[in-house]
Amino acid sequence: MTNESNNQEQLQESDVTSSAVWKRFRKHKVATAGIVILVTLILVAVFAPFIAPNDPYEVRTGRRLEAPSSEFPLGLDRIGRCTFSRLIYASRISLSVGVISAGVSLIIGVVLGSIAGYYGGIADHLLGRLADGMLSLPAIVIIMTIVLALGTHILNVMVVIGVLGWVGIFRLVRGQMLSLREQEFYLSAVSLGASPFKVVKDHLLPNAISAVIVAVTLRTAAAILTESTLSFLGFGIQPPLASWGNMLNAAQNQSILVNNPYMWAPPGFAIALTVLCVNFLGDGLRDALDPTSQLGIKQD
Amino acid sequence: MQVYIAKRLLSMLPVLLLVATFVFFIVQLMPGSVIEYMFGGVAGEEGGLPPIGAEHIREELGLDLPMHVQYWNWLRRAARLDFGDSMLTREPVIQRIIDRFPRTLLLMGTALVLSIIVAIPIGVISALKQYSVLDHVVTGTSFLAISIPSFFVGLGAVYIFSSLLRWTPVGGMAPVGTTSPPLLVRMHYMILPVLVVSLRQAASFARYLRSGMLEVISKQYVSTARSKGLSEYVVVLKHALPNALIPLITIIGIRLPVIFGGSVVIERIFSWPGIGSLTLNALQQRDLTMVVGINMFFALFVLFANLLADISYALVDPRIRYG
Repeated sequence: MTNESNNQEQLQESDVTSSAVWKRFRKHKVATAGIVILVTLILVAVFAPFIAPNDPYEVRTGRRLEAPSSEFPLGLDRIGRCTFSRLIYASRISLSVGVISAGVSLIIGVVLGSIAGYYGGIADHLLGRLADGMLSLPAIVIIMTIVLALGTHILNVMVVIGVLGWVGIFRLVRGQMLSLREQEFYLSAVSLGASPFKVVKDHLLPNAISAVIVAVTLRTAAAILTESTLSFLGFGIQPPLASWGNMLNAAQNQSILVNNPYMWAPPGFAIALTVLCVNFLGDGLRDALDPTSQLGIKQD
Repeated sequence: MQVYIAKRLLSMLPVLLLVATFVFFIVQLMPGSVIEYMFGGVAGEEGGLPPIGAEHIREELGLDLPMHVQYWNWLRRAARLDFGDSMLTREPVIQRIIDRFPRTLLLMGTALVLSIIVAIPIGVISALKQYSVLDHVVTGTSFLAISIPSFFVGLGAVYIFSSLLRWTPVGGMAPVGTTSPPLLVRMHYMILPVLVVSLRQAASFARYLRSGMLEVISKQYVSTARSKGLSEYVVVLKHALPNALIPLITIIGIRLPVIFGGSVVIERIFSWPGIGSLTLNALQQRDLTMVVGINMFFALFVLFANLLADISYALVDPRIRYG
């Protein structure tokens, strides 16, 4: 914290020191449960080679769609790969796509939001129009179009989802900038001759950080969902790489849907659990970081 | 009001031009082509290229012209709402969209109406009875609704209700071979996809209405209405609810692209022959004019819907005046 003195005023109405934040966060039971599950999932993703019982890419042509057994806890898929091992490896894809996409959205949203909020005028107007344009397209259709055009490589999936997800963070940062500009510490920084970059970086952004952290968390949840939808439709992560979404792709086949639920239901639950936990985390962070916020999903 | 509408219509033009230009050039990067698709084989995959006739088709489709000429020709037609012809079927793109869109509108529109009808009483009651069991159930459901992917809900519903219980057809709009089935048969085919879409929407709409109601109920005019001795029923329905509906209209307006984008997933799962299926097919077949046309159509539709939402505020809330 470089601007401890700046925060003096806020400290009284809402304590933002890390211990107070942590205390408030722990009171949010579901959020705490969410973070425990997420940490477990991250450990599973990191140590996937040690946890997975089999090679997730090994094709056993003679044993397609085999039922669960002690060797293959969730059976074998369409071309005889171990479903359980793929499920474990897929956590790497979902989590990394979620985090990196949200990171891309964060960078674009903060940079453009700062420019629009700080300078206002024509820059603000043009960026606002661009944001309107982005929002007027059904994200999933345009994302499919772009990913297909650029190639369905995992990096493209991450970047495209990220690039199309900046509008929320942009609007948030822009709004925060506009309201923070009305405050005295901004005026004092400017009159002391600080450069626009320095004012934004040292004075405006640190004050907007709570709201941005919450928005990025929720963005991560959305990005995981988008990746799974794309991969389910066959326009995202491509086999042999396993993603929870592309594991569900097989269930579009009526016979697999009916006869092999253990093949498609676990990845579905995995997506739901992960996204739910990230959303709980976001909700808990909102309550903990920004107790005065009225915008929260939880209003107590 | 007329001036406001005219201004809004004018401000759509740069947005549409931006969308058109971007989509037109990005689709050109797609690997594979519609011609490869026509000659068998999956577009985008390597395989035997058609030797005879391919050049002829390229010329016919105008694909041999320089890119900027193609763009200019397309833009001139698009200005008259003519998005060219499908590269595959040679029908006008707009005609295929007009054929397909009413079906999507039927599905998503019914789901939207149903979700609003369900959300209003639930949202109002959970606001009036804050922290009751119902309130907690609504909060929990809305978290689930935003976290479970719609395709998983859809597949689960087909698995349970169509495959195991055999209550509903597995997919499609009507039995194979029938053109105009009776209303009840239509409803039988619609019920599962409509429920899947609307349950998720209803949960989040109810949340927004709950917040709106909580905010409105603490306002002075509600206290005034109560102190006049009006019944709780009149206070809630006549004084509080209309004001609490405004943020909900905003949310529905903002969500329209998401709602109609969702048709891609729902129509795939339920084999519903609407615009979502059209989109997926066009992408798979590399029918570029179709892809661009669909994107343009969605953009137009959403911009107009947002305009309608803004106009409808003025109808719900007489304090809002547009100059």
